Amino acid sequence: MIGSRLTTRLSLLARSLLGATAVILLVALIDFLATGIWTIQQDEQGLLLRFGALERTLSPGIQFTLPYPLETVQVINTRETRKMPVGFRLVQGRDPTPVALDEREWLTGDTNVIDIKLMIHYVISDPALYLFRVGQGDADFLIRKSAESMLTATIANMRVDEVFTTGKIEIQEQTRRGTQALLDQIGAGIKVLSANLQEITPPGEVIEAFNDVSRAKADKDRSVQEADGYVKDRLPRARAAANKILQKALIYENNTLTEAGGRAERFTSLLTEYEHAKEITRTRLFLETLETVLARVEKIIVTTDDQGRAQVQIIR
Amino acid sequence: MKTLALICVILVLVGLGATLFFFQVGESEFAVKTFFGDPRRTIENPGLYFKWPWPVESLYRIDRRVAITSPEEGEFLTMDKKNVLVSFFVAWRVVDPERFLVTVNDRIGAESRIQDIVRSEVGAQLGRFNLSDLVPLVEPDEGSERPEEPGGRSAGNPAPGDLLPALLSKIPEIMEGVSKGVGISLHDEFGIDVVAVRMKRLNFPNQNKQAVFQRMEAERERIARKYRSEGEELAEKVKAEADLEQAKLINQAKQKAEEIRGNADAEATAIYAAAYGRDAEFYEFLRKLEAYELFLRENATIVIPADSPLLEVLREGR
Repeated sequence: MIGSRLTTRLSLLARSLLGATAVILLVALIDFLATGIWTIQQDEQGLLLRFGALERTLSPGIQFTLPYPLETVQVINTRETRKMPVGFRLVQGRDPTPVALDEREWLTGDTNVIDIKLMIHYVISDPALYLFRVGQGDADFLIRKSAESMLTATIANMRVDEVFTTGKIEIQEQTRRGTQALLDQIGAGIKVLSANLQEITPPGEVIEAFNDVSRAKADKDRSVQEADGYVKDRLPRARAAANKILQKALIYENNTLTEAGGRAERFTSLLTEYEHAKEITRTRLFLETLETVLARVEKIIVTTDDQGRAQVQIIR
Repeated sequence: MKTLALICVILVLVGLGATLFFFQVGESEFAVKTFFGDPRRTIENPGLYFKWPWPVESLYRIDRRVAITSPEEGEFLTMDKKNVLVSFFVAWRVVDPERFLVTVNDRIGAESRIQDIVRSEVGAQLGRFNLSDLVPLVEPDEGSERPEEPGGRSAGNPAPGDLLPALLSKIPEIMEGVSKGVGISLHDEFGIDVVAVRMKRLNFPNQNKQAVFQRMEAERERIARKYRSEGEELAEKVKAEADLEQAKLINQAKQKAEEIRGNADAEATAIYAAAYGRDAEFYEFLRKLEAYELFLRENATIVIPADSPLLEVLREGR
């Protein structure tokens, strides 16, 4: 009786244990099968590996494969533009942080030391090459190293002034092209979109001297502008003064000619009159003048008496 | 329920068996199978392979991808005895896994050997070139005892027309030489192919840098001075030109004014002559009268003899 009850209990326990195991097994089996379901996003590519060997590329959408470890899929985003800073580092994708001197200093062809910051933009153009040709982690590292080597070789051919001014485009272009060439030579599956110079600065020790050159350039411009201002002020004044001199001469001319004309005219009319009655006119003119003159001067009239002595009579 | 359990048990058993007797080789690796430690077979193609369980056969996996080794920068001496700081990187990959496994065992071992070999080759190659081969625009007197070239160009300020021959840095050439120089021995000794050796950085050692900075500073000062004196020169020139222009304008005006005055005088004289010429004696008479009127002003005193014709009427009383 008791034994039979125990048996029943044990068998119940066994049965429920078995049931629990079954559930666990079922879940495990579903999980196992679920490792063969993949979702690939629009901007991604999947690489289907069967026993580790590349089988084919999976396009975006839901994809079914054999479960792990028979088949696995590696998914790579092939649209995303990635960044690799050269000469500086990104912290949380934003702030440039100081790096060691040997990571940002370059030597120009005329042995000036300069700091350069450059940003490489790239995409993964061939996921299979990217994953299987260059060591994981080495691929991105390789971009920086390649870009650095291109900068070193490019800048060694330039003067420092060129680097700061006209050489920028060439630096960017050569770095992009050279980096791409090396990546292609290695077969990294990476396409370099652009190499952009972020900043070129002289080292801190000499930055003041470089700034002074900029100031000197500004000084030069200012001197020239000041001189221009001087000219702009001076010439109109000179023209005005010259004009004034001319005007004065013209006034003199006018005065002189007018006077001459007037006098000539007066003489001519007088002459006409005079020719009519010469003696009379002469006497009249003489006496008129005498009258005017004697009326205003002090006069001393000297008379001679019988003995011939002079007698003076002063008339005011 | 029983069938489910059975399936699971079978799967697990198959799985266990598979891991004992089969292995995968990935796209990015080689596998070397050893039979009691003796390398027997190198597997180069990815896929699923059979092996006897350990300790009969064991497996070594070797990364076949390109690895980048970038040793610490080092000081090297150029042919003209200049110290330069050079850092470089080596891109390499395993091509003979068995040899690789036997000689250097793993990547860490390989890297230390590669560093040593490439570094000494870099040293050897750099020792065959002058500093000016690396940085072709360097001034000949840069920190050396080399006698200055007669008529050498002035530092940092090449005279226009002083066109240098197209000098290009020989860095790529040098690194190509390094790559060639180490290629064969690395391949034959360690089963490693060098894909590329590149110079990552070229600089001066810290103890020489101060001199470099001083030179840079002096060069900048010279350029700044040049700009300033150029500015002054230009300004002076422009101002002097303006002053000259001003003088010219004034003088021209003066000249013109004199001309006008002269012409006016001449014309007036002609007018007078034409008018007075008609009766010169009458003119003289008139002019005398005018003169009396002018010079006999109020404060003049005139002495008149009593027998003057002027006083004739007064005297005679008629």
